[in-house]
Amino acid sequence: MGGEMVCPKCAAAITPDDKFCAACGADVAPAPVPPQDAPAAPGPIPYSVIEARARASKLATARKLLVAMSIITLIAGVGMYLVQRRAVEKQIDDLEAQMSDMDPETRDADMKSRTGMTWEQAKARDRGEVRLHFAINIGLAVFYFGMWLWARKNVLAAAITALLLYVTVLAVNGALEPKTLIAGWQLKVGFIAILVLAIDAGYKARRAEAT
Amino acid sequence: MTAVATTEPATCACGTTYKPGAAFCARCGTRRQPVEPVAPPPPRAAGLPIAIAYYMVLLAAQVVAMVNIKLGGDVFTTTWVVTLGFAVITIGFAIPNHALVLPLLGRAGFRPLGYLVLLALAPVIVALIHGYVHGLGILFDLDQPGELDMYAGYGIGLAIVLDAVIPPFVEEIGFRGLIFGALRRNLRFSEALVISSFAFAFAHLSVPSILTHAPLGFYLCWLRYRSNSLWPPMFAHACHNLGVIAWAAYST
Repeated sequence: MGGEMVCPKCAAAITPDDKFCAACGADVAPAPVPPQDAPAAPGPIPYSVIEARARASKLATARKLLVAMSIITLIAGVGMYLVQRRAVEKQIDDLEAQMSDMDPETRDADMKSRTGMTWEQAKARDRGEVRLHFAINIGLAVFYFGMWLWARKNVLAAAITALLLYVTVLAVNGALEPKTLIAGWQLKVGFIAILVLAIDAGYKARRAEAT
Repeated sequence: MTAVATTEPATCACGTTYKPGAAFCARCGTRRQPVEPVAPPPPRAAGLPIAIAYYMVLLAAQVVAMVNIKLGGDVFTTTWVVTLGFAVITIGFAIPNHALVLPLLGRAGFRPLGYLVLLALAPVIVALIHGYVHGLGILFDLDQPGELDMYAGYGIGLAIVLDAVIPPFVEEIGFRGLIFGALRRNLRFSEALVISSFAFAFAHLSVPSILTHAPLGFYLCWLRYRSNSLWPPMFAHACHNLGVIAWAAYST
């Protein structure tokens, strides 16, 4: 039959692909044909997929950054501890040498009048401060490591928390010692940029998800 | 052939494009139903940028205060200026974002018994946190500045106002109202809880305070979530700060 196909029920025009008549809904399917496995032609990648990949890559970079921040903080903390401890011990030795001819009671009275502490208390306080700085840096390294662990499940939330902490640490250090802001500023700007881009990507993904 | 109304769908639920004027789908045979035009859901209001901007402004105020003290400014004056500055910043953010704050202030949250439980819990929480801070001081041979040292000569009344009345009010509106509420618009509850509590801890500008204030933040944030009001966390926060002052007054 070479002519136009029509619906056997209402005579409306149908095409060979139709299973039902578009006009009356009658079943016009031919005898079942075994399905052919035609390979799907690779079409262009949709824009949404490209966008999602770009977001995922930014988030992955931020995740790697978190572990890098942890390691850098750890190394910097150990290095700073060694330098500060040497400086404090040298200061203590120098002062001890200066005051070697004084008897301990006059020395303590002198220290107390100037600093409100005895010599032993002052030494303990200075050494304690060095240990505290070390502990703070170790604490920060552990925190960033924790954020990295969290980022394996939830990059967005971990990146937000890490950014808040990082900016806070920079601000406090900068307020106490402005020189610390300039040292390695490219690295600092880079860290913040990676975190901000990742947060932006994750945030956009969440908002796209919600609508 | 009749013209297809604009409300009639162009494709069937099975994915087939309807033929012009068709009353049925040529593939699955279902009747072509006119669809009610559905308005797209309104996009969720932006939350994360509000939370981050608010935190950054608070941080900037603290940095200005630190620099002022470093340059020789009076600690006491700086502290109360910052306390009032926090209040101004928080009100400044709360006015355009009043939807995040006002509904929470409109209800009491807990019944009186709930507030009594909070009052009973306060000493336990103060003891836990203060004990930890004290232990840390011993570990590092540090003289912890007493909570009241700064107020020496000004009287305990001022310490109570500047430590236990204004900050709980402002910080609860800021951290549990603005930050938690804004984050909750775009993030899950657990994420908003953790981030807002850590923001609360970081804003106290000390690494040891992460260990004390983050759990305190979780507690206060949970109270806000549980009661859907800001009054229970404000009450618990004020109890905590009063407890710290009482401890300091007792020990000096």
